Amino acid sequence: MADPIIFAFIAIGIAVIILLAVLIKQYPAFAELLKDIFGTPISWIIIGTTGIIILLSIIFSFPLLQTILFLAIAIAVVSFLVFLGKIEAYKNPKFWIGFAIVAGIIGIIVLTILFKEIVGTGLFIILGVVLFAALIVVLAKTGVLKKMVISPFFWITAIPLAAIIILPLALGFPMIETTIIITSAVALSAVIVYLAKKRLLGKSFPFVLFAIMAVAAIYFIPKIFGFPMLETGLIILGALALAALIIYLWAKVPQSRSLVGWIIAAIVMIAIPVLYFKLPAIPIVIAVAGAFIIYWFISLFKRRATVRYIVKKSWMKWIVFIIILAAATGVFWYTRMMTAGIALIGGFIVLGLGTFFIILLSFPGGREFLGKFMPGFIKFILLGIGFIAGFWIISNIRPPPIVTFLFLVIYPILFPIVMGKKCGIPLLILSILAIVLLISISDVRTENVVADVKSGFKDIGHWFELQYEKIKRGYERAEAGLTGEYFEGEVQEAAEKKLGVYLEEFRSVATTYTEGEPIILYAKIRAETLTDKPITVKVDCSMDNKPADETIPYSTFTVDKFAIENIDCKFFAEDKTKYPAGNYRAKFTAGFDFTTNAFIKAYFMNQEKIRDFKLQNIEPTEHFGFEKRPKAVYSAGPIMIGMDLGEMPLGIRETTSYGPTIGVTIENMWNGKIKKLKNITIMTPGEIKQNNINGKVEPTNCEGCERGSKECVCNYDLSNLGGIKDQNIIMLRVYTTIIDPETLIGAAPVSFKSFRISTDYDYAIEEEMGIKIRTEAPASKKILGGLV
Amino acid sequence: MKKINITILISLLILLTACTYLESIQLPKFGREDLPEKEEFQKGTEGLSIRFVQEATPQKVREGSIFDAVFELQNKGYSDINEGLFKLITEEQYIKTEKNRGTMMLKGKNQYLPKGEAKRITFHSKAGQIDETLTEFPVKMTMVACYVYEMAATEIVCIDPDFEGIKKDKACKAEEMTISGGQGSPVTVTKIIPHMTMGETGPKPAFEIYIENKGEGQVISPQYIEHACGAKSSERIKEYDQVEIEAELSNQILKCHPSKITIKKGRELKILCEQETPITRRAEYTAPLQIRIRYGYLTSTHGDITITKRSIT
Repeated sequence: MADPIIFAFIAIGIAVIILLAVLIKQYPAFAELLKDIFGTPISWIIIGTTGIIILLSIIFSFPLLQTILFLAIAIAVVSFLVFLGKIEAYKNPKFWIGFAIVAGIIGIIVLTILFKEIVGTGLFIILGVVLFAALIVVLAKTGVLKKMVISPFFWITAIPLAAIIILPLALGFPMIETTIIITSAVALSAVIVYLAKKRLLGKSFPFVLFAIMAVAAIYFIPKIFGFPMLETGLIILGALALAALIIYLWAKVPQSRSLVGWIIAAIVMIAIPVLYFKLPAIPIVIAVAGAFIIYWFISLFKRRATVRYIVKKSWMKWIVFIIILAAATGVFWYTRMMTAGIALIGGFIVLGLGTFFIILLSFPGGREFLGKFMPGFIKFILLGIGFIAGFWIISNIRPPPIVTFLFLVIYPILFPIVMGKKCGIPLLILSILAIVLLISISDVRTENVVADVKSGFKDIGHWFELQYEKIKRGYERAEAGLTGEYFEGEVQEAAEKKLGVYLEEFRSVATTYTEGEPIILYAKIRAETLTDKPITVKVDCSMDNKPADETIPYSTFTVDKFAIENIDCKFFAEDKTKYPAGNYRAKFTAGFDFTTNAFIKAYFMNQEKIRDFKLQNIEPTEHFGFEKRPKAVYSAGPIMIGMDLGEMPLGIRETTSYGPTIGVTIENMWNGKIKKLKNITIMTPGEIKQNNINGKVEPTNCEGCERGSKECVCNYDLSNLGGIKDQNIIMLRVYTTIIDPETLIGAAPVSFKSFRISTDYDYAIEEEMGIKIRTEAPASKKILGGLV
Repeated sequence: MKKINITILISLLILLTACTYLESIQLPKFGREDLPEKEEFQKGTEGLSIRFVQEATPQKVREGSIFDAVFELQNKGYSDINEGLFKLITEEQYIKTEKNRGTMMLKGKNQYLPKGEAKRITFHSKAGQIDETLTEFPVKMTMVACYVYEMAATEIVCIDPDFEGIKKDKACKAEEMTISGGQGSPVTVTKIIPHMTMGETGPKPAFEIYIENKGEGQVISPQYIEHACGAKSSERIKEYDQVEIEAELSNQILKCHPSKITIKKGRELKILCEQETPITRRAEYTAPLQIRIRYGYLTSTHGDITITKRSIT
């Protein structure tokens, strides 16, 4: 509260309120405009939620992630209830039976994937859900449900109250913060419902949403991704202006409805290959223009009917959208894998198929056929996209494992419901939540997401592989979390430095080579470390597993603190049998050795003193101001190290000999591979001797693990530990013995110690691309240059 | 003579440059013309207050650098602190402080020190080395203080021998008394309920006295403050957190059950104090009831210091 900037914000806020009051008083039209813009329930949900988040997280230092999570839960619950009220399905027992069946099936799937326990736990869950449904049916039949469910008061009090009790007790959330956040969210929802009932709200929500999203994007994108603020602002405002123009044209100029769509499609189809993939502009423009001319010509005779159907049936717009998307996808995908010419041919084929469908729509028989088939198909596609999107987001935001698990169970159930009629509000809130969560975490993980998105645009197939891998890791994390052995750490922001080795660029001089021509690939590597120990980077280029003939300037180099290296790989192909005409996959790998350190704080107290404090109703953690469950902090780099020592304070008796067991989680956070965990050094206070890891691996050597020593340092060789090869998550338990409890407690009510880990490992990042080698073309076919 | 002079000089130098020193702070005083009464100071539920002086302590220090960590002690209660200890707890591997403990004496609130006496304690410290791949390392600096304090409450109570309520017009009524605002001490009397018990020789006044720890710290026996702050053995002592209550009615000592009590934070504790001799007066009358508890108190506060890398390229 003492921060002057907060007072400055408050002063600015007061000034703005006074200014608004004056404007409203002087200009009634302005008041009308404000009412129109800010008069919708959703705008108040957004404004109120944002306000609460800012108020709680900035001024009162509540944890941002949990604040957003709580608000989302509370608002989602209220939204779900509003939704139930609208569909009225909850009054029908059949709804609950359907709910039980769907939940049961999804329960089986989730449990099968997570635990491979379809028979035991799966059936138990199904039985539970069916019994729940049966109970609901009985309640419905006896009229009790009607009384309970219809009363919003019951739900608005019971569910938040349950959340206030369950979240702190089951998940260890802070009680006061949880209560304040949930209560304020419920109060906000109640105000909105009241305003809506009194018909005090207008309808211009999209403008509010656009404005808020634009401001948020202009603020967050430069901050998180390091983009220049001015350009970002101009681009976003320009895009909004374009969107406004399109919306205006669409609404006011009927003739433009089909034309506008095609102009946008043409711009996208030309701009992305030319600007992003640096493909020659003229052939692309010719190709796209050709496609449109063909379409225009074919649809000329039936154009009026086609346009009418497109406009009349909303799902038909989706056909057009999917066709454009598929065509663009085809172009992007094949551009990286094959030559531009073949990619464009692929694009033409997809466009041709799309055109075929549109023509088919023009005929009554085709229309009927598609009318039966397409809505379901499109809905299925949308559900699929939404389904994957949710998992993708949850695997990136990495909430606590139990939250991930709950999400995995609840999300698939919610989604089909949310996709039903008139249920845009919950979906919108979920989307906003996802965006807010994604942009609010500014660390390596977010950077990875951005990197993934970028690489995904370069190679969609590869991107899907990456996302599959991430989703898989999400499951692994949830599985590990449910065993109670997954411990998360917090990355230490290295003054906004990206530590480790990054592949910034991997390109080929040309995407198509002639037989016999040397193939040249080049890469830009960025490496940075904070230690005095230099990083040794070993690069490796290959084409269909054949190594490069020459690497310029070197294939192995060391980086002291910071370096950007440009590496060229040459493949000599004078011998045409070595690389005959065809398609190849070129791969660039950079392997390096790296060290990640982590620490966790521990607080020791005499067991009797803990008892004395507790007897007097005093919580030692609050009294001495330390965390009940400290989290490990690890240095930036490819892996995360999480540590856990249990709940603080750790009670010690003078006769205690068994020491705290250190739970350790090592997780691969980048898209590369941990090649080898070479050495783990664990440092405990001198009074605590280390025994072994997982009861199997004894330390190779230890120093200072005797009475009177400051620190006990032990090295471990994990090569003897089975089951860690190619694992993304490695869980270890380090067993210890207290050799000097009296010194550990010390001459004070509490003693502060740190447990540290240092891990040396080999890591490899890699990137792939497609290369085409063709036979030498006759001189007459060289008109299109490198295109064909 | 010369040797004595040198010894005195060295002693003075040591005193002046000691690693830990106490410095008195001038707090604003009321003018003589509006001196508040004693009752004005014997209010509130605070005792010793400790503050980590952020404006005088760097939040970030570089590896190996020397810095001062400053804490401010202020006796915001009514009782004087004549026996008090303080100790700085930190991770010794990362923060080295040559002298981390000391004793203290602080006057309570009075007409000359209406806010209570305050002192600053400075710990001259040195930051240690951190791991090479870490950019910074947070260290907690917690100061604990243990001191002997006193709660003294005086309330005028009504003694009414007519416990059956036969008499109608009475000079005073023996009613439950709720006492809010404290007595200038974390341990406070919150409620007094007067009773009259009938003994073989006549009626005896008795009182239910409710006591609560309204402060943030721990109540301990006054003789164990050194144990609480950790200087002595940490083994369990049975009477570690037990304190004695003394009550007098018109200077006559009352017998309290239990006489030794453990006072809990945020929870009222009930004690029954009874006069051993019966009263001879037949009419109701008022009398001063004095309650006194001498207790030890443990309180603490903490500050956070971050050690940063000496050189970040």
